[in-house]
Amino acid sequence: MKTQDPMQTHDQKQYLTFKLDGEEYGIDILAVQEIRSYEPATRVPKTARHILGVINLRGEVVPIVDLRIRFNIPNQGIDKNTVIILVKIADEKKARTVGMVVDAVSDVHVIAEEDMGTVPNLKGAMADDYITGIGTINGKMIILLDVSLVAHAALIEDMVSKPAAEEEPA
Amino acid sequence: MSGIDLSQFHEVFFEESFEGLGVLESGLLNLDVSAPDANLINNMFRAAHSIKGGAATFGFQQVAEFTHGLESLLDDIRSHACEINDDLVQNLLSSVDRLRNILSAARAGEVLDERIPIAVSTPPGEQATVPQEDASGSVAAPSSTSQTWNIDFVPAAHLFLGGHDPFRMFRELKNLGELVVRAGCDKLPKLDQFNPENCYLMWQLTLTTDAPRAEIEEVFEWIDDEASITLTPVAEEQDVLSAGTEADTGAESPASEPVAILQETPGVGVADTDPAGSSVITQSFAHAEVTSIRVNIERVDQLVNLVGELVITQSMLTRCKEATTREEMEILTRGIERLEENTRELQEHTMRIRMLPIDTVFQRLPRLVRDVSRNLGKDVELIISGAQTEVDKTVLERITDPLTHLIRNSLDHGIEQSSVREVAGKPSRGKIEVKAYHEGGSIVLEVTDDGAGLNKRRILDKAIASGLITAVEELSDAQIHNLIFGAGFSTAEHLSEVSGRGVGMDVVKNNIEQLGGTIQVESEEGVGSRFIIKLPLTLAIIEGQLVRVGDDIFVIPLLNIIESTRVSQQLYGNIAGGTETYRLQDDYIRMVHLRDLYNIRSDYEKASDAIMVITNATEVFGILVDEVLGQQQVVVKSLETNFKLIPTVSGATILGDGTVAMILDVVNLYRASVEVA
Amino acid sequence: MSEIPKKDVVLIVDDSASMRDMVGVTLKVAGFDFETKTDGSEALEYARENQVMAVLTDVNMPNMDGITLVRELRELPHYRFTPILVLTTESSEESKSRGKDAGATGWIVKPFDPDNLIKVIKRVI
Repeated sequence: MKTQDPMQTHDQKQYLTFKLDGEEYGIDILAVQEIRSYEPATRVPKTARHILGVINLRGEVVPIVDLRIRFNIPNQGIDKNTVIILVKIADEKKARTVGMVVDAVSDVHVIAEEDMGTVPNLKGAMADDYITGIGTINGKMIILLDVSLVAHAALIEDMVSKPAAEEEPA
Repeated sequence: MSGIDLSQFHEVFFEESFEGLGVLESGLLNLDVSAPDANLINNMFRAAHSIKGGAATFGFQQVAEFTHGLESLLDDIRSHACEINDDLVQNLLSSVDRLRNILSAARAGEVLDERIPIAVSTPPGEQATVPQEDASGSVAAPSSTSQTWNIDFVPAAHLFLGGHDPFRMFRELKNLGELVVRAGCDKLPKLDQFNPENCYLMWQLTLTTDAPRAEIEEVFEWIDDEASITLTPVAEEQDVLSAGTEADTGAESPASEPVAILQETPGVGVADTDPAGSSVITQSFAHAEVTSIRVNIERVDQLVNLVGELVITQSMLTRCKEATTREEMEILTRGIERLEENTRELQEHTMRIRMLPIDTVFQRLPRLVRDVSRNLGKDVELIISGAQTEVDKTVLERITDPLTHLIRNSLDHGIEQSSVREVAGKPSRGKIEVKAYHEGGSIVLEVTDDGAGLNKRRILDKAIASGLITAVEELSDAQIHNLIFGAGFSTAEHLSEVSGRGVGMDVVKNNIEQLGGTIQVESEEGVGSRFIIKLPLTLAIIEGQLVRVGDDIFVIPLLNIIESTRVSQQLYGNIAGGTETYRLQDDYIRMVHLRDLYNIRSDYEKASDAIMVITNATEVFGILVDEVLGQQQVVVKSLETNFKLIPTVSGATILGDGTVAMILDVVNLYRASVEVA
Repeated sequence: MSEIPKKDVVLIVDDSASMRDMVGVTLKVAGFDFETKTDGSEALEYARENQVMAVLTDVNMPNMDGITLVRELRELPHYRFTPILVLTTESSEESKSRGKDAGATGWIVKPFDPDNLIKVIKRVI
């Protein structure tokens, strides 16, 4: 992985880009903890389909979200490019590490504020709630995601979207 | 001199001494005066003996002296020189308390200035065990001047048997002064008669030293049967020392302790503190935080092994410091992976060191119950189970007070007087049950009594009076019961010495909540109450049974498991409505399919092809799996750290191959299965 | 004396951890390695497989006491010549002779300080 650009300033950020179903997505590189090759996770009972399970990350038990299932992407095969991007997310209570399965990682790009286009109306797209902008690199569109929102929502949603029977009555 | 600082052993000494006190105390509590168990008495004697020995060695004179009296008395009981009775046991218990105080004081670097009771003050026999050192330790008495000695040393042929070595003795003599050694070979046999195990030599030694005679003699003190030693001061009359005579090492000790003193002990001798005093002692001991930790050697060995592995990994990585080739890069990668693995294991095993059985807390309970129930004039039986349940040291230290308080509370407000119980048709003897077990990632402590139960009316009145609730509120039984945890709540009609110290249940609740735990109460009027404390145990290690369903491996806490069995068709039943049951002896138990509950694939199709793990958590039920694998200790990892609480799963663990497995929460698994059905 | 190959350790047998520690550290400082066992039967089990430089044993221990241990050790062919010292709290003739009768090389009376211990133990190793 490239080292962080010392020139990075407040109006330009480094993004790690990855591929999902042919589209290129970018997330703030500062949130990325590491990238691991795909490994099967241990299933966790009674969780949503996009929670693949948990893996052992140096002794820590870390949940793995399949972004492809989460975003309703039909092609969910696993090949040698499939990776898990481990990101750190924090809410007001605590910080967590979450893994996200994507088709492949592509590159690290510096995108300046002025290079960001306005967000088009992506009506209905699963990802639209988390999109923070659209960047263009060499004429190619990169969808910038708020990784914290994505991962967090994936975990939270799991709690809300489950069939009611699984929660213990209070 | 050696320069060894003895204070480095003090902490261990105190630890084992307090353990010894535990042995003494539980021994006394379990002693049946009508038929004393010789083994038990022997154990108690040994405990006292060890405390005394250690105290003397490490210079805790007050402890040594006090314990000496205790030890002597136990020795007399052991040899039937002294008859045991209830009063004596009570006195001994008080002595144990006193000793505990003295030890605590010594640990804090103080000497208790309380008057030490007569019989346990230094009896003449005590001094007798010490003087040996006085004599040998005082090299060169100021008065003595240099003196030359002739020593004729004629060993018996069997000198070497038993490990004696004349040359070592000469070496020791040489440390005393100037030594000339001449060997006599007169008795050397011909080679064909030579037995290499025998000693054929004799020696004439000339020693010039300022050491006293006793010190020279001491060198030979172990071989009185194996040699004739003649010690002659040069230019003095020959002085034949029969080696068999005990060297004059100072105060000659009476061989046995004077009986008179020991007989005095039971009556007046041993400290007889009043019950209130002794409960204060128990209290102060409970507050003494454990500052060191005794660890099973196996756990230490595991750590040593892990560090060994770490060293290997490190050298592997060092070798690839400047990796350039692909091969080297691969080794580097592997090395880093190993390093991760090592680090994780090291971390886990280090945490494991902090786990201690709750026994250390439970050990004090029999005494507590005995003292308090005596004080209240109640007859109460204490039943303890799960003492080996392990809990993190910090939790252990901080659970003592709340637990003690709950038990006092049950004794005081729960259990009724025998007469009251008899009127109510209950056994006259009350019962308090204290239980510890792991439930998922928690340790659960239960205090159950078969007393009067919570009086709802009184609780309500009190709660309304103290403004906790308003009169109009409609409350369920559970809600009413939980009012007792409200701040400032106390139903006791009179403040008793036992539990009315202004500490209420709210304090207990606070203490437990500070540990991240919960407390609940279940109660039925006239039948009894049960307090359930649940404490988190995120670092807990549990004994786990690994089971497999399809591709998934789960861990079932061994504590919950009764047995595992193949499902027999004859005992299998299917109640209308689809609930599968199984006949276990005379009971029908519910069968739970993990595969159905978790919606996973299993190898078995029919229940009769499965293996059933029979578990007990609130109710006995069977969990159906494909295969029962090994048992191992597993480190409970919280799923919440990075994820969330999962019902029916208490946590996760990492197996030997680095993969994660879910640890089943058997209690909630059962509940969930009932809800689904 | 015939030289039998030995493990260069002193075997310390005591049920008290603080005494084991103290004796062990003292020996270590004096340049001897050591092995510890917590009672007679553990020590005997170890001794069956291992020959040591010397044995230091407490008397009062659970399972197997020190005197019995000495007796049992002397039954082992490879312990006939091994120095065995008994750590005793009593300086009485009787308790010393009990140790000697069982086959102990000598005794050390508790309490002792580290210097004392080293001095005495060097008499046999």
